[in-house]
Amino acid sequence: MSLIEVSHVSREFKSFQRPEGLKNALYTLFKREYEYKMAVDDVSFSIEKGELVGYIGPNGAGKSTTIKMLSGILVPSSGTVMTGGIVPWEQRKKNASHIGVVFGQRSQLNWDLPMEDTFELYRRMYRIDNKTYCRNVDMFVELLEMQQFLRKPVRQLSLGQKMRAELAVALLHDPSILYLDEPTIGLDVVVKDKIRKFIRSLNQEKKTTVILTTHDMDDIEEICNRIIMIDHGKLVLDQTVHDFKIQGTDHYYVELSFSANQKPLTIPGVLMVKEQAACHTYQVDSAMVSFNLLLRLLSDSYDVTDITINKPEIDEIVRRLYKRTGEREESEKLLHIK
Amino acid sequence: MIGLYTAFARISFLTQLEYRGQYFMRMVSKILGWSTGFIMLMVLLQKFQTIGGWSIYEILLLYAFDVLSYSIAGTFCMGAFGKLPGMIRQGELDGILTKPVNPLVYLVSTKISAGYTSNYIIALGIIIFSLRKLGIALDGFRSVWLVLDIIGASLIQMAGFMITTIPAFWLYKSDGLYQLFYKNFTEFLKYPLSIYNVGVQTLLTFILPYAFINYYPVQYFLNKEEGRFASCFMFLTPIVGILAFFAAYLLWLRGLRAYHSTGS
Repeated sequence: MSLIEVSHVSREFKSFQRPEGLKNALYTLFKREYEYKMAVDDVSFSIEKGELVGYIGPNGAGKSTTIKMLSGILVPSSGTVMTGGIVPWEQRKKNASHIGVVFGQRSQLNWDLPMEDTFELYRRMYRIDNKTYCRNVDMFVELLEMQQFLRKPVRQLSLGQKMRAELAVALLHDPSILYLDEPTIGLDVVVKDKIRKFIRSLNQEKKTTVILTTHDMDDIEEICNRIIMIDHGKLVLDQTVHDFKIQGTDHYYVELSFSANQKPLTIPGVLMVKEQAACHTYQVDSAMVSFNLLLRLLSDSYDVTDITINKPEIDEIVRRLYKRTGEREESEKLLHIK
Repeated sequence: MIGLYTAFARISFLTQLEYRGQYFMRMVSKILGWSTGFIMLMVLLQKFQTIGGWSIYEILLLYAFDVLSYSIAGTFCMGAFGKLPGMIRQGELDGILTKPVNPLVYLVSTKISAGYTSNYIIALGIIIFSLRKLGIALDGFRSVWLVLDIIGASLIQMAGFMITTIPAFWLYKSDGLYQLFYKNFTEFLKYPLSIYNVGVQTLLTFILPYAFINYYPVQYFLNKEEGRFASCFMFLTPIVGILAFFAAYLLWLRGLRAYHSTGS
């Protein structure tokens, strides 16, 4: 059995439509029409121990709702979830002792306590034995570079320091699963990098299974080895990051620097996407133009000083996927009207 | 485990003391709030001497039972349940539900209020003062029973707090319930229940058992036997307290299951 088993999970939310105008508002005091929205709709997947899963989707796709059901905060409307052999929302306490949770947008730390004291409280709350506690505190303080702010009350920490503190606290009891809901939101590049490296090394050392939601595709690129994508509550994609990136390999980008200004290439399959004084960028369709041919054409018409070839990044593939599902929905709406 | 919750409560308590200005302002406002009620009572009693056959010190005892049990309940519940509807709307329970703790005990111990300490002193003072004026000695048994009554009364007050705020899990806002079924109905407790009509007496005894906070238990100490129901009611406060609290706890558990959280 896998560490995390999600089968046919749905979660419905009820909301009522606020009408316009006073008369209608008064009317709703007596009779209300509710709108039911499926935040998560028949989602199934399973995750093995030690996997690093990126859970992505546009805003409002149902990512957070799924994470909340996995971590035992929400009870699904239907379907079953098993994590580490238990149903998370039925055995909340037991579940809590083998998971760690970080919500990027919601702090769990006590505002008035310095981190040292918070660590101590968590040691008691999770009943962590002394050896594990000391080892983990030392490791996290070192890897996350927390020495400078251990004694400061949390309210005085910067966003990046707070996020590192959240991570350390969530991992103090050696959880087997770590849920991260947008862990790098609003952080600068250096802190982002620290956090990503930390998660990777944690996974290598302790085989911690990580599920993270994010809008930053670099998180996926640098941390994850599997992508699950959800949109409008439905699972749209579940594959390894490697397979995911191959999807985009029907084209690539060539960035070209040259000394003398030249006329741009105009052949089918090669598209100019950026034009600067001494630098042109083309998008090349690899099925239509062979690499050899392209090189010959380029060297014929340009006095090349530098050339860079880029594969599309995850970001771009995701953008295409999001757009596609958006368009599909638009067309479905149109059909509906007819 | 109890040690852990005590540690949480201690931190919450000490943190509030750290913000000294805020702490003293709250203290002053509480003292003023209760004293206006107290002064109103005194004025009324100056005029009428007795209300429903209860003398001034007997009524003061009623008043002090209410204030003391309310303050104990408020210490534990004001932070946790006063803010519960807001916390539910903001999805702030998420963090609690992912910790290996009892959510209720954790919520209460991390949100304990330090602002009621002045009330304890005032209410206890009034109880001792009135008993002495009435010539009632607190022997061993009576003082134990007094403690049990205060615990029972506090549990009823807590249940009132909880049952009127927990519906926020379904309604998102429950200020109206809290105001009506807790705040407004406990206003009746200022005077002996016997001055109200049958409807109010039945309501406050069987449906919202607030009369067990002061009217019934106080009769034991005053050697009174009145009220339209059985005289054994004066001994039931601890039991009613436990039952009411248990009912509130069951409602809490159902509320947690219905918890919606909010998207982020």
